[in-house]
Amino acid sequence: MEYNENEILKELKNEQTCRRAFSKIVEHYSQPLYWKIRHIVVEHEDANDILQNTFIKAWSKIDGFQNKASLYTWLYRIAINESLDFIRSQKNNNNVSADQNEGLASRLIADEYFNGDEIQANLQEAISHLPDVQRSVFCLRYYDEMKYSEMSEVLGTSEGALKASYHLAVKKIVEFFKLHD
Amino acid sequence: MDKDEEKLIKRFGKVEPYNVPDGYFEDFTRQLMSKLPDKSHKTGIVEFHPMLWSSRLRGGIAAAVIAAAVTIGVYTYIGKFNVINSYERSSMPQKENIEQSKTNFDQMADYTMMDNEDIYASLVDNK
Repeated sequence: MEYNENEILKELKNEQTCRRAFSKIVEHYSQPLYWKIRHIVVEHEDANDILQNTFIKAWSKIDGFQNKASLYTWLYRIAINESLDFIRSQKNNNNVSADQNEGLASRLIADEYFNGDEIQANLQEAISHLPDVQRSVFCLRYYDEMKYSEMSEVLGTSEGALKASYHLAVKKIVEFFKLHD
Repeated sequence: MDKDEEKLIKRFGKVEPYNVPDGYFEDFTRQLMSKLPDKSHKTGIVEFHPMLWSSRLRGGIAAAVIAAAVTIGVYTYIGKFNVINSYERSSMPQKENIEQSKTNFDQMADYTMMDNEDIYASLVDNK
């Protein structure tokens, strides 16, 4: 199914066609959004929940979408905010501490939805130790190779601040392995 | 790319370490769409058209006016009564006040069918 966003945005405004138009948006964006979410929250079940919440939220607000930002930016913004809210609520509700992140590598190796080896698992553990926003910046840049200009629109932060955040995150991960090797 | 980033990429690469259940993405859209509520295309602004002279509103206004009038009347009557009573009481001589109290006590005693002896006895017992 060819994706034509201009046509889809027109269809969204029509009560007869808005649902079909939204399903095309879901089909087009679900995979890229999922991976961005997954890199931040780690567990598949959590990523699935957040992805659904992202689209449900988008559906409820689609009438107010005014094309000031692209649909891509708008959806990604919702997804990243939902992901950050999730990891913050995890910390508040479950009292997740740095100690709890310590065992992440071994839990991932046992996880059926984790493909990587021990080295990859250790990297995920290092990433989990980063502060929330820094974690999302690192994942968006390192795994998704998102441009800083795009990231700036999604996160509402200046490109300079994002570059600084990414370089700090990289430095911290390198330091983490110096301590744990 | 700085040196630290180069070290990371050299050591870990950029392989995707996660996977998903079989058919997850193929099924996602259908599952998600089944959960979405029906959408009304009305705007979020609630449009209010006050019809001042609708029969329902007329009835409500009438009821409110009547209730207000009754309330004001009752308060006026009670207030007047209390004013009169307090005026009367304050203007009564002290002796007449005491006599009034005694009369009230006697009426109470008659009502309880207790004579003075019983009342005094109960007062002693309760000490």
